[in-house]
This record gives sequence, C-alpha cells and structure tokens, in this order.
Amino acid sequence: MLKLNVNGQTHTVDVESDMPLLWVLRDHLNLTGAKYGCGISECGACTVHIDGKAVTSCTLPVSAAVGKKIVTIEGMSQGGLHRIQQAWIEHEVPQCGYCQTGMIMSAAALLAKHPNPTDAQIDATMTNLCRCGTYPRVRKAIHALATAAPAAKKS
Amino acid sequence: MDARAAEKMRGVKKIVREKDFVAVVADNWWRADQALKKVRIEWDEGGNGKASNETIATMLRAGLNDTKLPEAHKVGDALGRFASAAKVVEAEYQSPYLNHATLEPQTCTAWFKPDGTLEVWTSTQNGEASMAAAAEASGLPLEKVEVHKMMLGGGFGRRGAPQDFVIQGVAIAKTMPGVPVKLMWSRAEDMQHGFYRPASMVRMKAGLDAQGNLVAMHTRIACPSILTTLMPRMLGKDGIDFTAVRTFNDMPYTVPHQQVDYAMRNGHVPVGFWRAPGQQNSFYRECFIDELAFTAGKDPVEFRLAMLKQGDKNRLVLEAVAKAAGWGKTLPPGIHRGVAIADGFGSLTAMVAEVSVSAAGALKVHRIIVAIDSGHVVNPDTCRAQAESNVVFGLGSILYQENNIKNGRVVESNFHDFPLPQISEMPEVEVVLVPSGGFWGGHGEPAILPLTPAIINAIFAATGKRIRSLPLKHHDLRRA
Repeated sequence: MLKLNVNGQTHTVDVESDMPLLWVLRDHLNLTGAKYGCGISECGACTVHIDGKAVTSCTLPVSAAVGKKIVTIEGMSQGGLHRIQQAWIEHEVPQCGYCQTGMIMSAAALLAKHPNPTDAQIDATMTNLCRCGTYPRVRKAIHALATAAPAAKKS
Repeated sequence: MDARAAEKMRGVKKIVREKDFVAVVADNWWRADQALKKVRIEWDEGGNGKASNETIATMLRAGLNDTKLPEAHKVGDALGRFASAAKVVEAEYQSPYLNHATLEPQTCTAWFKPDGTLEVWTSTQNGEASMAAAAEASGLPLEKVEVHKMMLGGGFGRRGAPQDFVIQGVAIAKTMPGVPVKLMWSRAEDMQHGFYRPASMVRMKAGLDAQGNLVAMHTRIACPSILTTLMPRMLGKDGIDFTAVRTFNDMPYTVPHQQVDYAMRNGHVPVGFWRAPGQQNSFYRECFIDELAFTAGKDPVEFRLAMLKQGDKNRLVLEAVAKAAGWGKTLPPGIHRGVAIADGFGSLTAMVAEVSVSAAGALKVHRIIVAIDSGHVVNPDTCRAQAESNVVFGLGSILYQENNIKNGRVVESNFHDFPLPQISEMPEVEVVLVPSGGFWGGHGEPAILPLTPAIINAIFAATGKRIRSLPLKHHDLRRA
C-alpha cells in the first residue's frame, strides 16, 4: 500500500512500486486529465506537478512520488477556471486538445518560476509536443499572462 | 504463442489471440503492456519479411522505367516536342513513408452488453465507418450497434477510412461478453501499424523554348495507391488514383504539351490519407518549376504568373502573397525566400517562406506568409489556426520525419526517432485571407500543400543547393 497526496487529498493505492505515476492517476484514481502520448518522457502530455515542478508522470515510478505534493490539471484551481485556462480560452489555444493539459501544467510551472518569461525561457521550458500546431498561441497566451511590463518579452 | 508467464502477472484478465494480433486484457493499461512484453510470439512474416527501403526503391524505380504506363493526363504531344526545345531539364524527386503520429494513439472501447447490443466509444473522424466496422467485426446488424464519437487526439486522416482500431477493439471485447474493454495502442504499436503517407518517386522532364517559356512537360509518377488500399471503388479509368497524380494532371499552368504517366506500385506497406493526400506532388512540381525558372533566368513569381491565365484565381493568391511578403524587395542579410502555389481541397494557396542557413548548414525557418482563397471565410481565426497547424504538421516532415522499412517492418518506434517540432522551431506564420467568392473551399489541408516547396526553394536561394528528397536531415546544407 502506498500513500499519495494528490490535489490536496491523501489516497491509499495498492499498486506495484514501479508502476509509472500516470497509470496510478488514470487507472486507479480516475484522474484522466494527464494523457499518455509516448511513455518515454518525450511528449509531455502526461505532465503533472510534483512539489511544484513539472514532471512527466509516464516514466516516474509511483514510489518516487510518495510523500510529495502531486498536482494534476484537475487540482489546478478550487472551483472555476485557473487563470491559465482562462488565457487559453481567450487566445483560442487548443485544437485537438490532447497535449493541452500537459502544456498548461508546464506553463504553470514556468510562470511560477519566471512570472514574465522571455521567448528563450519559453523555448527552453515549453518542450511539450503538439501535433496540431498550437505553439504560436501558447506563446501568446503565456506572454499575456506575464505580470511585468511587455518590454521584457523579446529575448 | 507462449503466454504462460504473462497469464500469471498481476492484474491480467485474459490473453486474446486472433488471426493477426495478440492482446492482453488487464485491470490497468500499464499492467497489460508489461504482460504483453512477456508473451512469446512467433510471427508468420509471410512473403515480405525481407522487404526494405532498398526493395521499395527498386520497385518504385522499376515503375518509373516501365515503358507501358497508363496515361493520367495528356494535352498536345509532350514527348514529340522535346526534340525542338531550346533547353531540356530533367529531375527525379522522392519522399519517404510518413506516420500520422496523432498525439493520442489509436483507441477503441467496446462493450458487448447483456441485451445483445454492442456499444463502442472511439476517437473517429468517420462515425459511419466506425459503425460499419463494428458491425462487421461483431457479426451484429447495424441496428444493434451504437458508436459514440469521442473527442479525438488528432486525426489527420488516420482515424477516417481505416477503422483497424475499431475492428481490433471489437474483436477483443467479443471474447469477454458483458465486460467493457478499452483498447489503447502503445506509441510503438501506433508508429509501426499505420496507414502511411505513400513513399513515392517522380521523374519530370521539361522543354523550354528560346524565350524560356515552358512548352512541354512529361511527368512519370511511381506511387502506392491510397484508393486501392482504402477505397478501390474510387479508382479512375486504367487504375488511375487521383491522389497519386493530382497537382500534375490538373496543373493550372498553361503548358501546351503535357503528359502524366502513373505507375501504381503498391508494395506491402499500407498507405492512407495523410493530411492533404498527394501533398508530396506539390513538393515535386513546385520545386521543379523553381528549377525551370532558374534555368530560364526568370523570377520565380514572374515565371509562374506568365503561365497563369488572366482571371485564374491562382493569380490572385500568388499576387496577394507576393505583395504581403514584399517579394522583390531587399531582405535582411542572411534571409532568403522561396515561393510556391498549390490548389486543393477546394481552396487556392500561395506561400512565401523566409529562411536562413548558417555557415555550418543549420536551417532556420523564420517566417511563413500564406495567402488562401477559400471562396468564403466564416471564422477567420479558425482559418488562421488551421494554417498555423498545417505549417507545424508539415515542418516535421521536411526537417526529420521518415518511416524506414527494414526486415518488412517500420523501424521507428517513438518520438525519439520520429520527432515532432517543438515550440522553439515554430516560425512566425502570417495568414492573408483573400476570399474571392463563388465557392466554398476548405482550410484543414490547403496550407500544407505549398509548404515544402516554398521552404526548399528558399534553401536553394540561400545555398544554391537543389534538394530533391526528404527529410532534410540527410542533406548537407552548407553553401555549395
């Protein structure tokens, strides 16, 4: 039995310790926001926060998440939409949407660290793969969320 | 098959062995995937176990060399005109197979219910085809089958005509009546069991007169047939597949002598509709036209305009993109441009690509300017989003994507060897909507058509190198 803190709640799960966190979230806790895209930490569709850092849950053994704070897209905001989700809607970012939960989790971690990120910081951090081509709008939405003056936008 | 080890693994419910696949059903996807790796399977490889890139290239080249090919298009007497041409230019181009790589792998959930009906949930671009496939795979009449069309994690043609994932999902669930079973492919299974953009090879020959006008063009196309694979009833006379010959048999340019021959060479790799079926022909034609303009000593935009009749709507998009891109005006140092036009899926497009190539041969695509005439525009923002989407979808295929065949199988298995572009590689995309009225065209596919030739022609402008095969990772782009 493993104890996990997910979105502020404690869950006890009876799973193998080497099962990737993604499958515990999806198939045991029914939190299906994080997606499977590659299983090798290449695409980022499974991105969640572990103690505030963006992590690809498809390769993270669940045992490594014990005792840490796990946040999924479902836990981003208590009631209503998170401001990143609102910006995503405003800029019509998603197309098929499959990569977007991971994209939003990465954006949240980026903005927490760099409230006014440069294009170079966006390039370095937002490595989530999108097959539909939402990249220009992801960039626009992140800049719109920046808290400081727009002068620092260009790297 | 020896599944004894897998059967004992935690969570495993059933091992399903069918004619052409083995599946593990478990209470958790990861457990099923782990158990599947422990099933020992000896496959009957049939007659294609030794097929490779080389055998496929040999097959396509034999098609190009076949002297008795059916004609897909003929105007005047191209073959008879070359002898009196001032200049004759010949070139051979080719492209590899490409997987759709939808970010969501193929999925299907099926439930044979106690009341004798079947309920299916699947990510599909074609609900009717899913329903027909489910009925056929289950043996139930259509009225006992219900299909829920789920939001899909990318389609691009993979989830339309081929319904292999529904057939498989239903076949698995049929072995466990009363239990809903969710099938999801791993990335490797998805990468290696696609309906690929056809690999093809094209040989073009053109005759220019003393003034540099294109007077005769002969095109031979060796390409597997998508229609033979998926919709044989759609094949034309003499087995002409319009998806394989388009762009050449309906060229807007006023060339008095034209001939297009089609060599259908299918091989064993399944082919399908990959975003903008036949788009590789735009690469071939529009890069070859660039070669001809260069040979004739003419500007690529002027060369094309001279071959487009007054009133032809292709002129409108070409003039619109040239104006928006500032064609003819000086560019910043190191930036070079290329142009291409294409029409298809009901719309007309023209594109200018601005690129730079470093001394070390590193390519950067800075800006894409695309003009689109779809007749009417309902939601301009959606049109722009689709153009952005076409650019990133096509860019990966230009830079590094390919599916190689070795020992009969697809070599690539995931995004480490079939990469998708990242946000850092995304060029600026400027969309110029020029709806001219009178028709309703699409936006989901047209903008990918001119992308490859616009970028490849810009690379020629930057380096003097003609790229006639993709992806670019196989080419040294350092200045010639």
